[in-house]
Amino acid sequence: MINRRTFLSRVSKATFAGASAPLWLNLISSQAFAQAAGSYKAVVLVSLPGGNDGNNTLIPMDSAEYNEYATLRGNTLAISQGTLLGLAGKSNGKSYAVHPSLRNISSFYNQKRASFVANIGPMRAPATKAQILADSTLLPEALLSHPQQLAQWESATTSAAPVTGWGGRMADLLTTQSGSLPALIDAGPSSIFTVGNAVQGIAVQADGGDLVALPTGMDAAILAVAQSESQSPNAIIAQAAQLRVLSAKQQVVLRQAQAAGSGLQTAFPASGFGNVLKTIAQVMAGRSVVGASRQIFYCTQGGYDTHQNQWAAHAAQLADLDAGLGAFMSALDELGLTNQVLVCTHSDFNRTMQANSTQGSDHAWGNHQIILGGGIQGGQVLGTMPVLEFGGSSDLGALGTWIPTTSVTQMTAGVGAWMGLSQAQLAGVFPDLANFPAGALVI
Amino acid sequence: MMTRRISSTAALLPVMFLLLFATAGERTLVAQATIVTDTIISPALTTVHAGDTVQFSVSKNGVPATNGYWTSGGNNAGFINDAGFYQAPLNVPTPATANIVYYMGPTMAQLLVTITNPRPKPDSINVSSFTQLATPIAIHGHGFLPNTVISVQGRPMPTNYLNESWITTVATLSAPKSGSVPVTVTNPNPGMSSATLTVPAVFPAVSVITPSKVPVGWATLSLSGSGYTTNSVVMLDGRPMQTTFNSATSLTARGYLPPWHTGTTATVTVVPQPGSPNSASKSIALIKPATTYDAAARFATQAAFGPRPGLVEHIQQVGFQGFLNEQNKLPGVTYTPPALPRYPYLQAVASGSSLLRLRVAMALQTFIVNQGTFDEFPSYAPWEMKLEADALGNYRQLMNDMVSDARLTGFLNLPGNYMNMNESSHPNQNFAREFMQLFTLGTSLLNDDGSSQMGANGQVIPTYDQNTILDLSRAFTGWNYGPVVNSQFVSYGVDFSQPLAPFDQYHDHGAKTLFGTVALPAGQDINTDRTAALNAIFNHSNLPPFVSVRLIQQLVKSNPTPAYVARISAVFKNNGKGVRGDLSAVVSAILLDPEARAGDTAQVTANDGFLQDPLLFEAFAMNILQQTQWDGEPIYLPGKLGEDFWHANSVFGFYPTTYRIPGTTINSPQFDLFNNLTQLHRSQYLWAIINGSSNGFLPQYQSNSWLFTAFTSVPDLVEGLNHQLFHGQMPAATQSEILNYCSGISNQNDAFAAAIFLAMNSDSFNVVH
Repeated sequence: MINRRTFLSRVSKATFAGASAPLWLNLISSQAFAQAAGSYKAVVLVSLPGGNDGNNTLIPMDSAEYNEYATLRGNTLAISQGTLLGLAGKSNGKSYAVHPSLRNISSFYNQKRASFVANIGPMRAPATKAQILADSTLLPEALLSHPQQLAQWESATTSAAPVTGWGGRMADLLTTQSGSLPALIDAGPSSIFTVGNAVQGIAVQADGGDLVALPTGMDAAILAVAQSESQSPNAIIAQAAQLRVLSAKQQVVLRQAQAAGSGLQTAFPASGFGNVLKTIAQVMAGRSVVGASRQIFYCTQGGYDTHQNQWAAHAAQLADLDAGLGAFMSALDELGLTNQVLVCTHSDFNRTMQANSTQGSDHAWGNHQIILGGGIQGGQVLGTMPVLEFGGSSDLGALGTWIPTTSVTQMTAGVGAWMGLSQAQLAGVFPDLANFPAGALVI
Repeated sequence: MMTRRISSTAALLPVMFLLLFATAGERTLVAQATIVTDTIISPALTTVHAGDTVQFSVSKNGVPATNGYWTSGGNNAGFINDAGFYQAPLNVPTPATANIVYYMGPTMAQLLVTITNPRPKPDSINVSSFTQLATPIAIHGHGFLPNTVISVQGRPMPTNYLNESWITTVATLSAPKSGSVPVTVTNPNPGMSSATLTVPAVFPAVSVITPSKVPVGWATLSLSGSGYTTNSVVMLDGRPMQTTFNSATSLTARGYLPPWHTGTTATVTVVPQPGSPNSASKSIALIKPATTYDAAARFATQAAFGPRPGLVEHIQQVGFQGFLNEQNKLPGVTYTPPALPRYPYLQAVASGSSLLRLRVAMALQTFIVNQGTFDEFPSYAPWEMKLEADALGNYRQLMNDMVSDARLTGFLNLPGNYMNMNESSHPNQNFAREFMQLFTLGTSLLNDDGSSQMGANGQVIPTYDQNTILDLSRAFTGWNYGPVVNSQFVSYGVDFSQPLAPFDQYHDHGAKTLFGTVALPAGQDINTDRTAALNAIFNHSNLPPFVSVRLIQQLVKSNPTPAYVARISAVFKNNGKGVRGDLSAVVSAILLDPEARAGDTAQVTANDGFLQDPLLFEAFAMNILQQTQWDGEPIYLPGKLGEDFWHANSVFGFYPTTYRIPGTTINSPQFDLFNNLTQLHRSQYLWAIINGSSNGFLPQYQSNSWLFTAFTSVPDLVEGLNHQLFHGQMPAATQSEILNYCSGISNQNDAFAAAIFLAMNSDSFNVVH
């Protein structure tokens, strides 16, 4: 991987070699040839903004637990047991099912290409309800606020204003394995996830329609202005100009990678999320142009803030998620990357177990997440389900706000371990991991 | 009659002539005839100019002598006839003497004369008048020598000698004044002599200019004077004006004095023809503006939608406070259903006159986020109308509008949020939470200077706990859409022009506690509970810094100092008349604060200013270019760059106010929308706007656009851009890169478009500072 400075020095080396754009691209290709020899691994994070109702995503199926679930959710939100999609096998002796919309994901689970992580959320250290009530500093900052909670997930911290994300921090360590682009490629909106200490993710999207070509030679003039302004005494100007200088080079590589991967055959749903996943698959398919053996992708899906009339909206969002991920897993098969790519979900928080008066649910805490991939030990529900009782030992209040039993840090460090980070590297990327004696989840 | 012709061949010369080479003393020794003293030649000249003629006579004892004969002795000494008529040689001979002798038998009379330089005889000069200070001239005539000098008005000019009849020089006048100019040709000593011709000088003169004082910018002047012709051109500080010839004594001229001219006078000159460097000049006084053009241009980036031509000059004349006073009196946009409301909005932003109100409304919209639906008028217009009305009003009124607007509350599920009817549900918390978190207070306690209060444990202190969220959601229960009043505002059965209606029977009448201290006793009705809750939030200590920081960030800079925030918070708390929440006072204080004005004259400082967000990017471009030729499509352009204004994906809007540039500690909310893709797309859309080539823009505006019409060359334009876009602080390297690129473009309009594009595409422009 490359930070801005090394990227620029690489470019100028190519220029000294006596060529403008074409030779520079040759240099990239030769790097690609050298680096593609190592086996490829990639992580795709799908964030579900708004707070996915995990209570209706992963449901206990054994009678006693299901009945507790149905009672607490009430007529408004409980999904009838007969429509749930059962998951094969037992985890810790318990049976589980998923939302009826998750047809692909349930079958991946049954093929041991998917797992769930139960009752997980931002936590600085393991804590019981009694400990938290006695010491409010055990709570994450700005608990139940959308942007802060999602940022805590994406940074694997409990800070209200994290300055880096766990994806970015991993990308910092992968600079020698990411070829001509940063390891982190952002196919969603801007996110703290993609920000490292030295590396910033670059954005990719499907080609747009109505853009206007600039006159020949104008690109060079824009670059010349940006190069001089990248030294501006005004730091905001300098940062904008530096981004412009760097992007001018990166765009060339990114477009070539997308073009190289455009022969992908797998059909994706014609949804926004389908297009995003298709773009990611194309960039993966064009990875030899980039010369990357390690990549991290970011995207988002849906709007899950179902305060009102949750039933239909939630089913539709999960169906969109399921359809997109189903196609994406097929694309990985087509690319021969079945076992080399891991997909996982994040979301701001779970929703209250209790429905509100507008047939929705409100902000809560511990949630359940999905992990997909042929290379994982799938077919498991990892972690521990909360005690389904209002005001019980798992409930921070009285509405079913689950106190997490596994921290975001443990799950994300597990992803880091899957990606091949050493113990020392994991400790650096996930500083809170040391607070959890159980360590990273084994994924 | 005997004539002695001067011969040029020395071999033919008689001996006595050769002897004349000797001195006078020697001559007496060789005389063949005896010189007598009673015979006198007259006139008794000692010198004769080459080329002159002289009639000599001779007398003996006072009686004219007649019986002798004349000779003129010497080398090329001219000739003399029997009647004594002497023709001096045309050139000075060597030796330069002639011996005029009258022989009378054995005696003779003698007169020895020196032949001096000829008299110059200029016949003609090749110009009929002088109309410039410096004019090449040629003089034809006779008697010119290599060292002949032409003088003009008595001042010798470097003179070129071509031959005896042709000399030239560049005649340089001392002043551009009409009159008769003497041109003198002088041959030097020996026998220095001159001849003078006169040439009329015809220059325009200025005696009176009306008016005597003008503002900077466009000016129309009437000149009276003299010497005007149809070729006369009036110049204003060196820039040609459109000149109308009325008569030889009257001109009218309209021209442009760049408004960034900071002197107290300007120079009006009249040149005889276009391009002539010579002129009559007179200075006129300039009306001193209230502020400089550069400062006014910068103010327009903060208090309006960019430095629109005309607007900047207006601010320059009326000053900051004058402009704020005017703007406070102007209403918002008139939105007429069922037209798409974003179209008149963008028209008002791009070319309307009520700008401050709309700019502040835009700032408020970034954190009090509405989400319209496809049915645009009912869901977009009412909330925007309230924001525009409240933007320079009071925040308490704005809070009333927040909790009663059908669309904003509907977006956050407040309508139909009833009391807890049974044990299995609770009130929807969405509106209560986001109302406090996003619209009024934020999640953690603030100091007046905007910094977080820190608890003893080193953590920030939450503004409210979950109990307050629950109780506020209970205090807000019982509201729903009211009956339809205005059918033009109806969408899906809801009249969005009407405030929410109270349904007290669905209100939770139980006791509530906010912030642990504010008690809302049991039994209060729905209106009383809501008013009490709003008062508690309005009077919360977080509100002044919360709102102040956001408005400062939107209008002036992303990284205000704590002291700046504290000064504005103080005005929010008390406008000076004991009123809290006076947004007009807050906005004025923000814009007039020394920290906001520091950049008017100083160089850029670290972290100053803010990056344009996509809507401002488009609005600035349309204002600066005066791009008024467009269809409805431009209302969608900001959305293509991540800011589909009035139509956010979520209540969190388009970017968080706390966003920091990755890898830095620099706060720059708008940078959240600026990445390797969107900065490229901005460039492409900017090119479309400037060229009027797509996305709904048309090129016809260019013929009326100040930038395309007021400047005479690319360097002239770049200087204009430096002041209009960069308030005089455009980086030198950026200027030279633009000049460098544009020098390769031959078509001036294309070169102008490229120069404007590169200036507006530069990050030192993108970052408003």
